[in-house]
Amino acid sequence: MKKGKCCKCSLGCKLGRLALKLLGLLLLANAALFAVFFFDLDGKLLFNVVEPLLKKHYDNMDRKDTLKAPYDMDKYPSYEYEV
Amino acid sequence: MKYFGGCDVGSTYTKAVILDENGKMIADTTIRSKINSEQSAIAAMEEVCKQAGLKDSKELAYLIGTGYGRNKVPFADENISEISCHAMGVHVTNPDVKAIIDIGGQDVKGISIDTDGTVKNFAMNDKCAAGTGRFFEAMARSFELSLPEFSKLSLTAKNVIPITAQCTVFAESEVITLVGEGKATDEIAAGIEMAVAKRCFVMAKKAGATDSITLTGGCAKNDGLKEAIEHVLKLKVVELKTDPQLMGALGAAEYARQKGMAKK
Amino acid sequence: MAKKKADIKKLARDFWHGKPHGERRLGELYKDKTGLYKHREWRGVKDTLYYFYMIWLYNYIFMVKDIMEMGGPINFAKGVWRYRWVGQTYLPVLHWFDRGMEGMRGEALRASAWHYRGMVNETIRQFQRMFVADTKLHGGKKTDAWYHTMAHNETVWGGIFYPWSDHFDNVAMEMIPYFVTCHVNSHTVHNYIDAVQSIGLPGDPCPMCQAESGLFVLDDMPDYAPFIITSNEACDASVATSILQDWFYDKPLFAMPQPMQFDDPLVHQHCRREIEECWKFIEEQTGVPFNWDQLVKKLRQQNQLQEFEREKWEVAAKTPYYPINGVAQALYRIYYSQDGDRPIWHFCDKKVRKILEKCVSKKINTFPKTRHRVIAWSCAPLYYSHWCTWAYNCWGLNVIINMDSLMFDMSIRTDTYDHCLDDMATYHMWAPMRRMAVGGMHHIFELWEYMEKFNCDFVMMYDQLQCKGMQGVHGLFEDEFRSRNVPAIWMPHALPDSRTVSRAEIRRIVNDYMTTVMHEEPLDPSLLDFDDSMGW
Repeated sequence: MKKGKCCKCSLGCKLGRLALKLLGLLLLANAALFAVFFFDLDGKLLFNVVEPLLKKHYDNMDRKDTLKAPYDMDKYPSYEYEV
Repeated sequence: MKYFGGCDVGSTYTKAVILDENGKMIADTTIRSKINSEQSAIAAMEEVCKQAGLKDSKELAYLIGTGYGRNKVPFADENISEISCHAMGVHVTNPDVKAIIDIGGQDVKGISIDTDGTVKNFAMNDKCAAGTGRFFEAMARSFELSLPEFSKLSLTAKNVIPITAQCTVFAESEVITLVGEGKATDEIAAGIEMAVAKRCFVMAKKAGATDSITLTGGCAKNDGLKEAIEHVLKLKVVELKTDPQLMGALGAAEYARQKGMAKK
Repeated sequence: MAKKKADIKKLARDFWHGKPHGERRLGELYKDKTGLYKHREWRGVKDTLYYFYMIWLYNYIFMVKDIMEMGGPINFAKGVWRYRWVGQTYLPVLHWFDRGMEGMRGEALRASAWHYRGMVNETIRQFQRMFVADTKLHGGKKTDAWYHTMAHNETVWGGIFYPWSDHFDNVAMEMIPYFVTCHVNSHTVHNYIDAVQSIGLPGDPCPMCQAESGLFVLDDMPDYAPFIITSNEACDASVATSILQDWFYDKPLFAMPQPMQFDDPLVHQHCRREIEECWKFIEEQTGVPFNWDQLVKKLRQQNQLQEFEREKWEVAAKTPYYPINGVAQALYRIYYSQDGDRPIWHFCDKKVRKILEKCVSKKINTFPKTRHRVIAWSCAPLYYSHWCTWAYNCWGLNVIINMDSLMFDMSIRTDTYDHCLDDMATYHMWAPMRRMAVGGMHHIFELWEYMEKFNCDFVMMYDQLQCKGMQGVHGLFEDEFRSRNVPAIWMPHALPDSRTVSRAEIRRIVNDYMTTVMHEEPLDPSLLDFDDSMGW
């Protein structure tokens, strides 16, 4: 077998196989995403898992007591201008 | 002879009516509503069928459920809104009446009736107990009277002591205070009736009332309220020859009769 | 055998084209209480694939892209972790699309979705800007973005800041943390309303103002700018909000309080002066002078948006080919009118223009099940802005136009400074609530003009329970409806607070009117009664 001809065929085959693999992966990803979309899995995940976790976090957060802030009405000028 | 039924499941009372093919009322009942609407409907229908000499509601050619718990009449052939049923009930009782104020246990409605008994327009206040049956129950309680006794109390009043509180809860406090101060109870009662009549003003406008109106619902039996409405709204309150509390059930039964006869 | 063949044919047709309107039974897609779907709608092959690729996937991908470009994922993650109004609201944003686009097909689906896309992009831009500038996310440090951002009330029109838009960015304090959250997740705002009531504010003023204040009470407002400019609705509740903001935010503040009457010549003079004083304040705070050329450039761009809006209204008023649904029309219009000119609006308008032209040239009836052409008046329920979509699917009520859209119907002259300021003052006076709710009685009579102009035969009258201003004219509207024999449904609501009047209650009110007064049967009975009480 001539060496050059063998390499060319092999490269083409390899590229072809790679392209098929990529296409396959793309189709698989597409199907998976469509399943997530169609069965509202994103919504279900957010509603049942993510949101409850985040809400628990927000409810237990330490918050500054804003009422303790002094209200100094003279701190800033009254901002009146001649126009 | 075929028979047609209407069952009006209200928040306070459940009413049922049976009509014959000619539209004649042959049986009616009013019972206190239970917590479970379905049980209320079953009990009322049992009672009214017994009166009519029927074994049970299955013997009715057509049955319509209505009222607050209308979807809880599982054995009804159909459910129709209480607004439509009240309009039809009043129409078959007195076709000349074109405007209704329905004061129920928990809501107040203004209904404008068309020439065929259907609804032209309506307005409803179901957010606030002030001016509803609940309000009168609370007021009667403050006076330690029954509802029929309370309804006649204001008729002897020479003056009106206004009740300023808009809310049922605060009005009850205000009344207790006035009674405690020794104010004339009939004058306080007149103030209560006046307060409710003023609330009916808006409903009357929405019902398109021009010179006369009729009252339905349990509160229609309150003579003091009728007098107050005539005074405040400057409208003649037309008395219905049938119990005004039955209008919803009567209207439902009439719809049942029309649909049942059409099915023939 | 013939029946089986017919069944298979029907199945194939339904698969390819989607079920006809009356057979869709959209109410049965919901999972009880949650508002989630058992599965998303099958709209036929073409529209389902369009929804999947060009709405669902497109928006997810571009949201990630927007976050990467406008501040980066770290700032975003910090913001989500720190602020409830982001984490609890904006993650399920695709469900907001689902609710607004329910039942839609063809060009109406495409055009309305572009409007939603615009709002999503602008929302991301604003909160990312807040996070990039926020001292609370940067250990108290004032970033360069902090020095170049201007904070203001959402009722201050973005156009006020145009003269500085080449160097500075303006972000409304409450638009993203409050206003938009109510539409996307109606539960978030309850925390803020409850917070402000817990410090003694009574429960009966406008819940919008309560929620705006509550953000500050819970320390959930980013510190993203060195000064603020406030304004108010024409009501005491919003004055209270401004005072609380002044207290809690503790920054140099310029107030632009608005008197009630929106078209009084004295008020107009006052507004002119107020805008110029505000500009002086900004110059003083930033050290950057007013730039007339930049102002003109932005105003001309804004005028382009207004011109296209008028073209849209022309189609909406005179034809059945208008492809924007009621909720997209209302939200997009009020968003860009208040926010001001941004590139995304022009991008979306270009997309919509193409679709609009296609619908008109090919005479595509975009809402073929329309039974009534509805004009929606007064302030809409924020937690149920997509009621229009439900109403069309269930009853054939097509909301053609609404009050919010009609408020800023003006182009701003740029030939001279005097003309420009005159028109800007008018635009400022015509702010939400002033022109159409509490600013006098003129809006009563404008309703009838617009009904005629847009060929509407039905009114949806929003009834904000806590708005004392509108309650004062309730009876006048009633009288006019009666004397003109106009069918009108009063829809009570509490603006952002879904607890007072639930979505189910609103549906019940519409259902009662349509059956009892209009004597109509629903197009899709499965939508009459369903439980979405816990839904976003």
